[in-house]
Amino acid sequence: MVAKKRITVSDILIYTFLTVFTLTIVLPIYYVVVTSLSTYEEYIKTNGLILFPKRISLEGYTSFLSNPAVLKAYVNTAFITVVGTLINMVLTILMAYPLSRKDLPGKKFLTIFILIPMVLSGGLIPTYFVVKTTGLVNSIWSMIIPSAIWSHNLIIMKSFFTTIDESFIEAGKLDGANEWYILIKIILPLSKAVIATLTLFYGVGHWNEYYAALYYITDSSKYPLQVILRSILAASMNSEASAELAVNSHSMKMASVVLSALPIMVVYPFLQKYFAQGVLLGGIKG
Amino acid sequence: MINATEVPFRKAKHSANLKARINTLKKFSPLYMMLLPGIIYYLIYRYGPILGTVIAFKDFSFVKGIFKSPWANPWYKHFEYFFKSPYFTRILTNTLLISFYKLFWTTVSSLILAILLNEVRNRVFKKAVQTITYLPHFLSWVVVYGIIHALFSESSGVINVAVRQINNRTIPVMTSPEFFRTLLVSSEVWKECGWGAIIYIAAISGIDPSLYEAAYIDGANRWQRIWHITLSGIRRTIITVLIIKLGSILDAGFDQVYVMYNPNVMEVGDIIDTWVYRTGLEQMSYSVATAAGIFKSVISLALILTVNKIADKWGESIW
Amino acid sequence: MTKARIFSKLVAIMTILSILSFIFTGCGSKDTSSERSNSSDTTTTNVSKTDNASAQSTKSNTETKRYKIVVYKNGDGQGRQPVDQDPILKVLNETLNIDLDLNIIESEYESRLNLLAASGTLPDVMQVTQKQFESFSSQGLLLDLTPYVEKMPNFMETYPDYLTNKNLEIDGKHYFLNGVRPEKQQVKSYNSLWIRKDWLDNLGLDIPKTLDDIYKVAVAFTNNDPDRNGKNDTYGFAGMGGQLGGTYDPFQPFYGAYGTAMHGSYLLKDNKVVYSTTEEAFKDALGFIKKLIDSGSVDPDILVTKTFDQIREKAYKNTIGMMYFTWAEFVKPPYDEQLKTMTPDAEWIQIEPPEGPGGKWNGVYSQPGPVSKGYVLSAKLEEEPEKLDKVLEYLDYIVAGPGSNLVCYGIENVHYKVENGKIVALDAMSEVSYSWQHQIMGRNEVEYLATKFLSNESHITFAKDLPYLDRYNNFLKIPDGVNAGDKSAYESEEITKFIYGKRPLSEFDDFVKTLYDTYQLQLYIDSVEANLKEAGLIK
Repeated sequence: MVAKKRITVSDILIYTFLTVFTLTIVLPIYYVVVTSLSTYEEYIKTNGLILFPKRISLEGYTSFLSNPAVLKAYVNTAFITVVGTLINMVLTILMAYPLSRKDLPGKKFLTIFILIPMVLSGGLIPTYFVVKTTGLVNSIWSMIIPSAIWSHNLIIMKSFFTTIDESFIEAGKLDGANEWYILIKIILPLSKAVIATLTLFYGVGHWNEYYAALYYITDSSKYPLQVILRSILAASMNSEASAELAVNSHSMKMASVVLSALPIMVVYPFLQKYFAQGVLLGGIKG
Repeated sequence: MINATEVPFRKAKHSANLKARINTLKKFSPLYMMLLPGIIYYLIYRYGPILGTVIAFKDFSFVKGIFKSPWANPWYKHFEYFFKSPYFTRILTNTLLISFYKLFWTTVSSLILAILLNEVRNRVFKKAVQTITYLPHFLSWVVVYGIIHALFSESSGVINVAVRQINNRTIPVMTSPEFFRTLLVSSEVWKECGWGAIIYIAAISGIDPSLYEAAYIDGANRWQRIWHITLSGIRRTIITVLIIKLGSILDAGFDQVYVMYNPNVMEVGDIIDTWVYRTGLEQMSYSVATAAGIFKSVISLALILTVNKIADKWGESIW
Repeated sequence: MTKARIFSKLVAIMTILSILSFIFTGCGSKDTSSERSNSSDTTTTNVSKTDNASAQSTKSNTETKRYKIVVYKNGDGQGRQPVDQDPILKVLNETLNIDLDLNIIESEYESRLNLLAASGTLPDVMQVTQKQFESFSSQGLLLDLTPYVEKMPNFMETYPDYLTNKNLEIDGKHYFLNGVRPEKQQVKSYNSLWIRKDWLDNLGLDIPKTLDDIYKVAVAFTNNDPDRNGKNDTYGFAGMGGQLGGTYDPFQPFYGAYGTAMHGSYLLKDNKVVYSTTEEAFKDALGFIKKLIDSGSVDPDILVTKTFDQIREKAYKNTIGMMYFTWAEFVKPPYDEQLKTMTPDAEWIQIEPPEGPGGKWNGVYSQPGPVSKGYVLSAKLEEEPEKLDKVLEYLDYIVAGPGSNLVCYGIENVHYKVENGKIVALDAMSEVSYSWQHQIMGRNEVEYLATKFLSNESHITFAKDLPYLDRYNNFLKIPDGVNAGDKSAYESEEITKFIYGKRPLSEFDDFVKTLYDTYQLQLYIDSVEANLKEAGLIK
């Protein structure tokens, strides 16, 4: 890396611009967090402009976490996210690699094959039928299998694989490696960035799962996090709710946001290192 | 005209071809095996439901199910219902406009963010900005709407209260047709810019750093380096992502619009999906909803194929 | 190389096996296991005060089968009390020897019920929307109750005219389990106008009684700093305008003052069906609303105010002086305390709707017709006569008597006690705040509210005794080929344009004409008329 000691005008511009933009995000997020920690009273009196809560109230959080359904929901979601993402990645990689090989007969046909479901879907009822016929209704697998591959992610990965220089593959073949070896020992190590990216995409997708659970699951012990959080929230805003739930409804609203986003936010920094520049060796086509 | 001698020759060529084909298949068999699980998945869970789009051509009844429901008469009956709605032109226009604005601005903003971040050398700053900017992606539109309301509500929103002190007027950000599309697009950008940048950041990380050094030595300034190296380095990614997004161009964001719209802004905010929701709510017409869905799919597919053909000219086709 | 070949074969086999196993494990955890897990949820006890009481109720008869009854209730926006914390459920199950699966569906009720219909697994007892009702009944999915109601003694006693009342019949059949409770048990509405009495006092104004008064007070509230805080931050009138045409439409008293009702209402005048939106009086009402808005005294957020929370927040922030709202979301515990804490000096009182050229009406009351909020039963029950009997027994049990008390008030001597023939709530009543979700068969509203909400007696009585205009929307069967969604969208949009001055009221007649021409309004009116004739309400 070239070491430039001088700070140029464009440097200042860039830093300023990024700072301003980040602030427009930080401030509302801060608002969400602070509101989740303050009492409703303070929120009303200050019209939401709380710099730091006069009295930190954890009631928004305790209202959620004291509910046993929430803990179960975290477990469900963790399972769905880990297992689901694993399945997603394996299947996506297994499809992306062959499709990235220029010489594969039928490649164009297959690409269109995966493209069509991206734009066309039968809708709720036919999908439900299929899920039901394959016995997944009310199973936790209904939140994993029907969404096993996202064409969007598959195309990204395939596209990335095509940028890997063919000479690597040729070299492998010359050494007598078969396709599996090439995939696992050659291609994957060169694809850390895209694997990290897609793991993130799939992972977050599972973490936020809501509608699939709503339609396919009837046993409330199998509900994932989003469903439970929203339902508790809805309960707190209903006029016949218990007194303590009702008064906490506002800070609960914000607390649910923090609680559902926090865990996955923690994961990202770990994946960030794969995005560092130059992690991939040279020889990759632009 | 075939004469007697050609036939055995053809036969021989045929069997030679056949043998070659089988050999090819054998050679590629591990690759096909890799494809197999995914293909099974697609067939069952994606193409299976696609069979159900036949609902759009039938008068769907629950009891009779998809296959035994009677065919609609005429077969395009539900499509006609959709096209003949007094709101059709409006929802189509709004959907296209809103989607294209969003597509353009989210792509541009994510790109700018990714590129600028690449130019930043302070790693702490870089990491902080990255982490913070993708946070809004995790907020649901209900929460984002709450934030917008807290800021722009004409009676108590922070910004409008300030404006009222100065100008004695308020800006009807949420209820005025003039602002509504801008509101939709800018809140989308705010929410998704950081997240959308991730893929570009990942792609940039694949660019050979020595290219920058070489360019610097050649006397290229920062902006030239950005244009010729960074941007063209991730050109493939940009185009691929763009094409994929075209696949959902006609979605325009139902969750967002539904949370934000009100009668005042309907004429600029009503999209295909909100119309379908409304129609379905009052009348439970799955056939019409499916017909509208097919309409959207056809247009999306056409767009993808067209743009991909153009991209092909630059060597960036997605197949 | 052989290693790699074996390896690749292994991976291939494993992949196929795993796919197959996904499918099979999916099959394994099917409905049967969920059924069992549900009943084990209800029978495993969580030690609570109510255990002793329920132990004394009838023990289950181990010879007869314990049927699982599935009930679906539209719980839009509501939560559900955890099954193991529901004392009412336990007692119901034990007393009747059933396994009640009460599903409060929190969102997407229609879609989810439709999915069940499509896959042939409708619940035993469920709520349906009008369109769902038309669709399901025409396909034979619903049970005709006519031959069975006589097995329900409580029901027949509470609704003696159920079988003879033509209003409740559709093509000679009865599908809905909703009788009309006697008038003295009904509460037509919880809504009313509310006003800041302390603001009136500060400005030396009287309680507004006419439309003119309302206008003057609204303007004064906006411009004359009624809360004396030196800031120009108040508005005269607010409401949940995000729900125009719905229960909480804030302009209802104004329509009422002109003798009409909010848009989309089918009224009966001079033995004819009149559509509120098309009335001359409606145009006049819009004129008044426009005048109010033009004066700047209507909360500019009114169209985006969609939730109870938002209105309450405005009240707590002292930014509004008048609103059209329900006491149940404003002064019922715990909100009454919240109100006191946030605005200790505020004095909110209910006032009567203003008098205008068309009289004085607080809103509408939808006359019960063939389709209401009642429950229907699945036709599949006919195939299991024993189970059907059980279902009827359950439903009949909660109509009146001890069963009704159970689902309304909880367990005797735990949550309530009977004193001199009247029901008195005990402190533990708060444990059963979800009891309303069990009230499938309705309740004696007057007695219920009086018992549970003692502190709100005056509010309840005030709201319920106000005058309400009858409307007949429950007699509408949506005609084929029309788009009702488009029609109501058109109405809301144009009305909004009129009141905000984006479209001159002089074009009102054009608006009405479009309703008839483009949106085929006449077909709707004809449908209501036909049904009213059949019910004998039109001669």
